[in-house]
Amino acid sequence: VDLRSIPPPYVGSYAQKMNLEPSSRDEETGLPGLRTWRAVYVWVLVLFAVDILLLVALERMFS
Amino acid sequence: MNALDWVVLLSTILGIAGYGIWSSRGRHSTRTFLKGAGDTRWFVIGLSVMATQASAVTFLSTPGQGFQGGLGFVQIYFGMPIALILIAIFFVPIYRRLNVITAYEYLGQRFDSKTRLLGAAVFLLQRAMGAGLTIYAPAIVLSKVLGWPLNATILCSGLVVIIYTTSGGSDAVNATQKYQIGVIFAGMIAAFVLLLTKLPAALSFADTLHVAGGMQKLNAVDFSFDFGKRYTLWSGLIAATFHMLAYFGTDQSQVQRYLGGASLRESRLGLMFNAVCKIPMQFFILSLGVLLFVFYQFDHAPVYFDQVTWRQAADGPQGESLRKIESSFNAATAEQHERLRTWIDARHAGDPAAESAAFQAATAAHERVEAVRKEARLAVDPHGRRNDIDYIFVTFILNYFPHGVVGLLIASFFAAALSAKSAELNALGSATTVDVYRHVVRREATDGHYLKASRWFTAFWGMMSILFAFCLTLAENLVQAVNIVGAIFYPVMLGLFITGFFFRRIGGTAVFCGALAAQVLVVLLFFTVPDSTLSYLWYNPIGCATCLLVSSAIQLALGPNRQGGKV
Repeated sequence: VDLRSIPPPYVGSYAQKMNLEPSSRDEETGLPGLRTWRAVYVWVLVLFAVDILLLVALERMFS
Repeated sequence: MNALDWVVLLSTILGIAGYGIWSSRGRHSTRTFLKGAGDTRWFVIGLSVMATQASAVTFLSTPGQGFQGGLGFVQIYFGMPIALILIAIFFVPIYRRLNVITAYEYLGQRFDSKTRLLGAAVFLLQRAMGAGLTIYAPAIVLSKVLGWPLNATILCSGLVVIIYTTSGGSDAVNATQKYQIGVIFAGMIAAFVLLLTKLPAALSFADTLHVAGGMQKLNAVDFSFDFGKRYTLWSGLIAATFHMLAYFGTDQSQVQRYLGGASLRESRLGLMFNAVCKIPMQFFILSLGVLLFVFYQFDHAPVYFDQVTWRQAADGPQGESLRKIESSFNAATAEQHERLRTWIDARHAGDPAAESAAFQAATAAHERVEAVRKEARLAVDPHGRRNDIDYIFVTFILNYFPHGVVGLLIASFFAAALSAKSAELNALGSATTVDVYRHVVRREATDGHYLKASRWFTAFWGMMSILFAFCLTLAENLVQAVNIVGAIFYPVMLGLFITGFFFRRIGGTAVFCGALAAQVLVVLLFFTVPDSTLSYLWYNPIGCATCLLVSSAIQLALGPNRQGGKV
């Protein structure tokens, strides 16, 4: 999923008066090897899939 | 508990509370009191979010869940990584850019005043109930097994948390939570290591896993699609995602934790920390229960773990029948020990035919033990509403652990109760001050006035939760009861926010009516549809979808939303 393709959520006229551009510091993840937030989210989902696979493997090995 | 246990317990709990007051001194504005100084780093946010969710119920009750149902309960957390990613992408940036103190301020800005008040009211109602449960749940178990007076236990732990939360606000909550979660993990790791040493010497770690697996305790992932089963892969991935979205995205007790971050980056990383760590953490706590199960396959287990209730019942008119049940339980467990040892010996001998036959015999013996245990539960409570699984872990701790470690583990339970409760009180005080008092009752006043009001409201909710805890009686397994209370109210909260974020044509009146309709439907489902037909987790997507559909239909009937159409 290309996160940029998702329309920005509606925040109402009040929010539009405010500066909606995040600061450049906020855009940086500060994590080595995971420079974009998209990479961080994909990494979290991969770890989640690994969790499920390990749980299934544990069950299959010892049942 | 002896003197050493008391020293460990009191020094840990009072020391952390004192540190919370000291570290948050000098918070003299309403915003810093409610939201913190805005300098919290991601690791503290991550621990704080974790500590807010993991109350004493988690650590008392979840090992019992593992003992009874195996690892299957972990599936409720499958929705968490997905939900936290969605919150990091959509919810957090909006809250931070609007610079809100409570999530419900967003509803006021996006919709109207009545929708904001509805969101705040639903939150206050469900969280006040949750706060009572948070303090009642550990007190009922610990007071019973330790012989402490129940109301005094509730009152003392309640007063400690009221004092430091009222004194230091959000920063005191964050500061104490990181040490409380440290105490909790120290206690849980100590329990895990000691439990391993208590297993029979002849039982290798592989044997332990084979015994647990053979008795279906390692079945963590259920692929069946059955709305009546509480915990399956699909209820975890679909229904629990909605549940977690609502809890972490719209419940002020959680929103407040990550809004105190120094930047959007810190808030997001704090959430991602939980997205990665929560499933392994719950697996670890459930594993404690599975290890306890294996331990009791080779050691004498009580027929009913709530021994105080059992003894009271045994002293009553049905004493004779209970003693008969106990003696048939002792015979069944002795046979089970024998069958299991035969099975383990056959495994070590490497004889597949003998191993298979011994396994069948061990399984049959285990089923007889479980049948007697069920008979015992029904004898204590013929309606089958009472449950003893919350007493399994604490009974084991008191009977088998050395002094000092017992104090540490009891301190862990109280640390978990205080950490969750402080976040709840902080959130209840914030929502009452910002969304009700400042918004409706007194719009123009000095910051000092609102700061004083925040402290009073925090103390008020603390006292209310203590009074609520005094009146509670509970039959459900504790950890499930907490989730069920949430599942009744969260669908509406999530429906309000999702409509606000993604459906720009829907206005305040339509979403207000849609939310009320969804709440009525969820309450009706709870009272009319049995849990075996529709598990409570499914209320979340059903209620949220109802809110969206009814809101859309009403908006169509009302005509274009003028406010939304302008943007």
